[in-house]
Amino acid sequence: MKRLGYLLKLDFHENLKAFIWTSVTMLLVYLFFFWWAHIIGIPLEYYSLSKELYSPEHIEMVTNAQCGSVGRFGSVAMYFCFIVIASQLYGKEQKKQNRTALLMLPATNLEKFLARWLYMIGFSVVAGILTFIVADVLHMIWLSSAGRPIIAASKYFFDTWSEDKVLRGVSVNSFFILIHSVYLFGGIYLRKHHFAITSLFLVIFGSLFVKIINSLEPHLFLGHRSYVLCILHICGIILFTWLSYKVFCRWQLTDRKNANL
Amino acid sequence: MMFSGEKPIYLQMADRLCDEILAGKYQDDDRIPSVREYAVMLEVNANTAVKAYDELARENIIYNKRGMGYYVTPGAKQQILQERKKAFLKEYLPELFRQMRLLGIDIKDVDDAWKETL
Amino acid sequence: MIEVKDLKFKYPCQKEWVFDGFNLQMEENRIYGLLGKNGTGKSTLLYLISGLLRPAAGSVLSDGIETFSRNVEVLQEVYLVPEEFDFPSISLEKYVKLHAPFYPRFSRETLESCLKDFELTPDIHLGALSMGQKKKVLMSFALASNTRLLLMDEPTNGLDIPSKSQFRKAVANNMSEDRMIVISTHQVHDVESLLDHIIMLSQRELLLNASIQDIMDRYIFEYRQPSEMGDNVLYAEPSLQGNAVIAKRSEGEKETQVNLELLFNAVTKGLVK
Repeated sequence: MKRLGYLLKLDFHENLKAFIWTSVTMLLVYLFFFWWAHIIGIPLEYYSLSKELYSPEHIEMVTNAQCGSVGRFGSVAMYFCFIVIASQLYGKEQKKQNRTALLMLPATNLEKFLARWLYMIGFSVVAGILTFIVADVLHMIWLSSAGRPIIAASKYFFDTWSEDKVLRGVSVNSFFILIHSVYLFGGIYLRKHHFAITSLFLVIFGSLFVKIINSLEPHLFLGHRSYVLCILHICGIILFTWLSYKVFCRWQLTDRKNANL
Repeated sequence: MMFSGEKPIYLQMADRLCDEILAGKYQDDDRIPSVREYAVMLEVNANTAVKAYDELARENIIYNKRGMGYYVTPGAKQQILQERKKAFLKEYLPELFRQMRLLGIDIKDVDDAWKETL
Repeated sequence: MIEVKDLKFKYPCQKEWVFDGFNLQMEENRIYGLLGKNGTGKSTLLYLISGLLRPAAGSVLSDGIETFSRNVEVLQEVYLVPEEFDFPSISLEKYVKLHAPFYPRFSRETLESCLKDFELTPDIHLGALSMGQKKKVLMSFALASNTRLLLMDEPTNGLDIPSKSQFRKAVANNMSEDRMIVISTHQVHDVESLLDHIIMLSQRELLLNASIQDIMDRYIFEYRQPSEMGDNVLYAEPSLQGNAVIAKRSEGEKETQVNLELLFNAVTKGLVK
């Protein structure tokens, strides 16, 4: 257990620069969204009412809509940030010297894998989610100084990921976690162009898979669509995470061009 | 320390220590550097230094006091001097005579050169 | 103890086997010199012993455990000083704080004494060092980790002459009975005086595996005039002092210091085993 702590500390200090850069970039991205929504953009559906947009009766509705769109764009950006982080999680270790250093560190493969995974979670949460909250607070300060109703966009940000029915919520979210674990696997298995190749793989095999599933409907689902998809997604998450760990354990110091086995 | 080509390093180390004893750096019953200290000083493997010390101990030039280190045996200086004299007469002189014969140098030339240094 | 049994290994992108049925045993309380021409697999062997490469067949065991498994107990007792490495741009203090906990027998004292030997102070910043200085720092850390197995790949590469001397002193000072040090190098002169045991590699083969004492027992190394070569000469090379010669040593003959470079040439030509 102590070793896990040492590994986390090590990861944190060695990647401090990347951590700060990513967080700042995401903060700026979110602030850009807010700026676009409130100052530049006018929600499409209200375009015809543009003259009346900022009248006292409509201002609250308009601000709400703007916050809503920022929330949604923001959560897409956050997800994008998550999968890029997963893809680049072992980016440093594609270089021989860094790979040697990590593999020679006295800790079990599981501890190293877990530590890096936990670090990724922490990194992603701070860089993707906390920065949004910070941007939101800044935006609310601005709203109050501009005399507009103070509405938090974070509500819409987190709402993007929730569904009415619990089962559907699990199914949808597990789908996104599955995609994330495929990017994680790509980051560990591939030697270069992790993000591009993984995306290509997902597009090709993903659409093939969806086609197969759809053609097997209704035989397969028997009406329990969400339930079956849930199981499939969770199996997929377990599969890809386990594969990632296995590949990590078999890492060598070779200069193979494309794959890390 | 630069080690010359031929004699094994451990013998060269032993010679060096003898040189120091002859020069008076270590007197009878003085403590000499530990095996490790000497190895570090001359940048050699400690095992080599051990062999050097073993050799000197075997010739009774130094002795080991358990837990305390190595010390110069009383009378070591004279002993070393005697050994070296023997080696001079047995090995160096014959080689000198061989060269003299080869180059046609007379013992008288050698005596003259010797007298000049006095 | 390291045991290599029937090792077969090649790099994925190459056709040639680097090792094909290779066997070797290495014991502690020795400083091994791993010598060989470039490309004969010295670094590869070090990486196999470290667990960084996986044998295609056969096994590489450290005290009976497969090195590729990267078992923690094994890793805690191995330190590899590679030929090329990167330091993060942090202070040495911080680096030690982050890395030392992984090595249960790490000694702060040893680190400081080695740094002193190398004429470096503990308050340096790793980003501000020259390549040679970085190497010295890593070497100090390696010695201070007190691992039972210390592997060094071309340790004197990039060091100036005074630094090579400091290196020898530091290694001589920190060797202990339960330790095994393996120095892979083609700069034989730099480490000659430290070595206990020689391993010479060539394409796929173990050319020589003998202790210095063993070599001193079996062979004489000296300079002879071309006119008086004698009939026990196994190998000779011309040199400024006449011919540098390796001859068979007979019982009772005086021992001579091993001339490693000469031996290496003779062994690679197959004239001496």
